[in-house]
Amino acid sequence: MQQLHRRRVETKVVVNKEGCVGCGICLTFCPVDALKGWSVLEVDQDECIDCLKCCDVCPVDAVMVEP
Amino acid sequence: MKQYDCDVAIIGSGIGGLAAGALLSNAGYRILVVEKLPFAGGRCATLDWNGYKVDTGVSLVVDEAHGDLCREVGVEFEFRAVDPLLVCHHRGKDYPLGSPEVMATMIGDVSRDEAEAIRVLQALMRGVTWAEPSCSMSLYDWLKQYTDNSSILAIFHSLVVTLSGLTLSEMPAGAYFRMITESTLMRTSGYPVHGGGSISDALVQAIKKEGGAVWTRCPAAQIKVSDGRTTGALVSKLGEEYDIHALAVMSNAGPKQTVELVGQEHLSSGYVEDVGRIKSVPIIRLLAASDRPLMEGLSALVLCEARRLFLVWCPSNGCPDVAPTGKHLLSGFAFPPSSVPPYDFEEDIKLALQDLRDHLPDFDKYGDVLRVDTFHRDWAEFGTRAGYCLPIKTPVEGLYLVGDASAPLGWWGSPGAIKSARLATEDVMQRYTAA
Repeated sequence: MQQLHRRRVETKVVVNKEGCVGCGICLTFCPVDALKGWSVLEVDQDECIDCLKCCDVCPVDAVMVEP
Repeated sequence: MKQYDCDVAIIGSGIGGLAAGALLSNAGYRILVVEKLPFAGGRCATLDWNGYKVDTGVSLVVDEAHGDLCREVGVEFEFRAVDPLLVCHHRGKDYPLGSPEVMATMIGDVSRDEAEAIRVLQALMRGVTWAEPSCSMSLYDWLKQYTDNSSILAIFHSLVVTLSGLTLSEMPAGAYFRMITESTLMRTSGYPVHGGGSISDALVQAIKKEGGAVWTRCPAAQIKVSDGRTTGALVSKLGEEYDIHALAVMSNAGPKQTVELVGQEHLSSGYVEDVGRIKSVPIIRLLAASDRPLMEGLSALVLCEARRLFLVWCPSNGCPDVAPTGKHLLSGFAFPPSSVPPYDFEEDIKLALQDLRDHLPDFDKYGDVLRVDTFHRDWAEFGTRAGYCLPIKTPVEGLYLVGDASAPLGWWGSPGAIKSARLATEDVMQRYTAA
């Protein structure tokens, strides 16, 4: 877990608000309930562990890793 | 680059792609389905979430469409028929839909006088049994020829928006009547007991048992075209590029993505314009949990007086394993006031929750909203608006478009996607012989 948190200093997972359709597939797969919201999702950076499952499952490619 | 040979390559594993794959596999064709997501099914998948089974889209099915397909390709999914599937709730009364007599009673109950009821019902019957109205006029304009009764219009609006996601003004009159006549062939509706994804799982099994393959996490980069005909596709799987050779390609990736994969230079400008006119249809889904059933029975209620939440049911009443032990699940479906963007989902969700509380006054006492999901743009309720569809054949020889956007007039949703898959596979079987 410490390693994951260290990596988060360099990158963060974000939802592109313009691209997100709000289907919630990302929150369905998120193991730590870090995706929040209705109709447009947001990543709670305090909860996110950078597992990138949300990026993997987004059907419209709206979840991405930012430097 | 690795090579892979098949008879037909299918891009996208929505219900249209999987239906085509299963039918062709069953007919002896070697099939490869590629899917960019980690799971197959697209908007017909079921995902586990905190003990609940959450459908990505399809929750209600038709035995004459989904059931017939699975039986034909030798696989099964557990189906629970519900009769009547839809019950209209208006002014405190419930009208079980499914017969012209019930429709007549409902219209009779809200008409100002008998003459108005007869005028509307005769026009409806004429549209069904004689000639359907033109698609050039909206259903609203068609109805206004016979009545301006706001209760009658509200009943039709709730039915139309529930079926199609469109308002009365957006629904082409001819498309509505074709939906009515085509749906007479689909008499047995109900729930896939383990969620819509159980149908996709069965179809994947049908493809694999005949030697076909379904590759997930496998995005397509290009549909190959040479001398005006397709020769296959380029895809990537686990970081490796694959050159897929195929006699024919079926795209279940949606019209716009298909144009991108092919490249506009291989398509006529008219076709690209037609694709540009295709607009998807949005929906809002609300899931709520409770310790006791919030509604009784298996039928879905059409709330005729709702502001946004027009359809609601408790799937756990008939399919207990969609919720954890001791819990019950309520599904509600809401629609923006127009299917055309921009949407104000925040306002729509607020009004939908008010509708839910109006209909279930004890909701706050016993129920909790689990989540609200919205579906629109490229991950929408429907890939096209009723009355606006594309042909199954693209201008590129050997390249077919399958899915609800290429379903014939009168077909919609997942039955429409299956219909388009049937039409495309029939054409493949006439033109191409399995290697």
